[in-house]
Amino acid sequence: MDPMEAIKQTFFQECEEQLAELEQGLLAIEGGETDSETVNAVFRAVHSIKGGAGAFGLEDLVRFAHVFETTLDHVRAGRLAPEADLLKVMLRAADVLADLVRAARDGGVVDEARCEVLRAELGAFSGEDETGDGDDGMGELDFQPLSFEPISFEPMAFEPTAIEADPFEPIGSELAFAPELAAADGRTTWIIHFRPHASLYAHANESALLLRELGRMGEVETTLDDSTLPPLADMEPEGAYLAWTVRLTTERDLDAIRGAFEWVEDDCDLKIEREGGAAEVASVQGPDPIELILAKALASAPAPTMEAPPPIPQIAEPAPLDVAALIRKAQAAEEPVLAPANAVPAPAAAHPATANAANATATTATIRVDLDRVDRLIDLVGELVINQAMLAQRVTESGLGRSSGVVTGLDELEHLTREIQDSVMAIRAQPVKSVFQRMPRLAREVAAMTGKSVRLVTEGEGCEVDKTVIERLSDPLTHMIRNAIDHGLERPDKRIAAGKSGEGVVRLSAAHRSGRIVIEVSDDGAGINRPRVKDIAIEKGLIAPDAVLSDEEIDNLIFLPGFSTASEVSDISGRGVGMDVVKRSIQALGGRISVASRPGLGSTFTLSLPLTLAVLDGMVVSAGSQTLVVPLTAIIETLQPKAAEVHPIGEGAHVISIRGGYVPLIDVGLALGYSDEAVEPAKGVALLIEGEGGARAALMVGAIQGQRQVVIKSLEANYRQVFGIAAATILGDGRVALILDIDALVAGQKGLESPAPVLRTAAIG
Amino acid sequence: METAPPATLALPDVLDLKATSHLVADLLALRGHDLELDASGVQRLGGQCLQVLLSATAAWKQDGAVLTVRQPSDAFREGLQLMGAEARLIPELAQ
Repeated sequence: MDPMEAIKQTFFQECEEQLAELEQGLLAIEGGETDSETVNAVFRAVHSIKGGAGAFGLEDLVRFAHVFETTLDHVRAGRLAPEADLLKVMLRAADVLADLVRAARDGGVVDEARCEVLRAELGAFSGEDETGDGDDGMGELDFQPLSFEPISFEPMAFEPTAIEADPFEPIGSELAFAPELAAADGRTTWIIHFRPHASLYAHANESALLLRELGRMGEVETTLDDSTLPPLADMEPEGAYLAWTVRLTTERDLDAIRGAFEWVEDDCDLKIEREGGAAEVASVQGPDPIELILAKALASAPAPTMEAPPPIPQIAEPAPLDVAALIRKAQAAEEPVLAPANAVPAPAAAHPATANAANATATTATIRVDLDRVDRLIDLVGELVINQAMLAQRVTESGLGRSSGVVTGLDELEHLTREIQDSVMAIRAQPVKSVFQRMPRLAREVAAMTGKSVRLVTEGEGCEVDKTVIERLSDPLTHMIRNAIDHGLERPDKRIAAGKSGEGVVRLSAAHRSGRIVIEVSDDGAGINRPRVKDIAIEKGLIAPDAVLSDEEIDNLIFLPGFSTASEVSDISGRGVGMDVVKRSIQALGGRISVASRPGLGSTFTLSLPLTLAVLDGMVVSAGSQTLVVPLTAIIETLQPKAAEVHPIGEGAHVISIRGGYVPLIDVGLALGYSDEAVEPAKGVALLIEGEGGARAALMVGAIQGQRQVVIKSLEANYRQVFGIAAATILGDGRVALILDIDALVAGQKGLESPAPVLRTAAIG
Repeated sequence: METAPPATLALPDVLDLKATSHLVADLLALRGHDLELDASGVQRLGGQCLQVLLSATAAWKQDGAVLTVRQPSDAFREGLQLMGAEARLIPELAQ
């Protein structure tokens, strides 16, 4: 990929994170968390987006972000109270900002009028002219897009760390600069000492452009300091040896000057002082937040309180500069003998580079890794697990005793493999938060379009699921939330008439349950209108007019292809696609969806998904001639049934009595067609299992072979979907074993859920 | 740009971080000879290439050879001026 493009992509990724932060922060503020940390986080998010956008010359984005930022700044400074009205506007502004980011990324068009309206609304709150003609934010950030010609690029360039924005704390700035702003002619001469580090260039920034930026602010006199320049032969081509002192006479304030260095603050030594005066600010390179906080405190706190601790002045006097001074001295001594093999300056010159490397490590708490690499690793670990199982089998076959060294070693290997696998899977696991976060906006929009009032409550955002699952969850969830609001909730007047609050509640929750993640979307609306659903199904020819269906079956009609209850196709939910698409995408993930509805009280859609699509703990059993794997999470206990405990019920069906209760007994071999005869109860083993909905059943199998971790190989991808089978795996002896889909099996037996339950009814009817 | 030492080195259009290592290598290969740097095509000059050029002038001076910049493009001059290096690389321009 074009490196420039790669950087831009990173920027957009970061934007997504910032947008999520922003929305979350705003919602938190709306929820009453008005502490400065939350407000600052929100401010930083917008600020970072603006900064990055400026670097890429995305003017629309910058302009909007600027107005937004200004308003947030007022909130941050306590000049504007975060009232409900303001927050509503801000939330919508966050949506527009998201649109702008996406438009910049994907090249779409943004509703200009909407932007305008929000700019005006934000401007009205901040009391500023929002037209953005004058200071539109581009002024400070007018980097040439070219300035980001990247080489070996480090996504860190945009890492929006807390430190980055913090020195811009307006409170500090105001205290420090109030006198300067009041200066009579408005022009001040500043002396700017700027020494870029190698990382500045490595992060695709350029000293020349920063200096040009200063040149735009007023009159400049630039003095180059090349005293640390090593001889050509010793030069690290990508090192940084030059420093500049710029004498700038300008009307702009310190903030504006610092703004020019905003994105490189961690990558340079920067000192800005007023000519003839004390240093207004000493921005020390060094990401140590404590130092920065101290420096900030020094800048903003009233002098008397800060006089005691001696270390602080040292921070104002940047240590790296001292090193630089030493280097200069050393070099001055060596200067006359600029022999090609001059060894002395080299270590000295290497010094800043080492320091940078250390800084980089300190700031990098996370890394971005190409997903392909992780997937490759997961595949390999999967192979390792299979291989380890095979090895174990060989060892067993060779007849070595349990206590032999090889067997013990193998056990250890198994533990290790297990740990590696867990760790690798953890890399892919992500909290569902990333998907849930997108929903509040959706809810707002759908609510606005339908004229309904909605409160979206999310729970269990911390539940972690495999990334693939998360990615593919977004569309179904979006659809379900839309449905819940559009079809589920009633209009406010109807709600009030029904004795409910005018505001509908849609609840989105996630929870881990028996090794799967269960996501519920519930609304407190009117519930499924069963007569109407049935009428529509009949009208569309989906069921026979005289079909007799249970409530549950009627509810399930909405999952049929082509079913849509909205009589007119609305923009929101009915686009000819409906719950059938949701159902299919969930099934493709190895999940299931079910609906429960109570008239007048609302509906609940429940999704149950595997946590990972890669491994599973299973019990290996034989049924007929086949070896099957039963997911361990579903098994409650195993038992050896006595013939007397099994009772025939109806046609070919059996129940088994377990401690006084009866559960259906399913002969797996028979149900899946692997054998023609049922296993005799006394000869087989029954596995008492519990499905998602809590339904219990006993699975009758021939024998239990053992328990092991298996690597899931998709059957659909390699073959096709088979009823009652979730996936396949490779066993230690190299054979393929099928993994049972317990719920499908149980439901299939109940006649409720086979691949197309109602279609079958329709066929009969 | 090869190991053979020509008297003229045409500077690349874009003198940014990517160009530095090549530039160093090219210059080192030309040590000990009088050299003219053709800056007519330069569209952009970055800090890191500047430091290479500055170090080169020092090296040439030390070798007793002459290094001159020929036909500096506007962009090249602007770069030098921005970074306060005009006088060092093109002394005649600074006067």
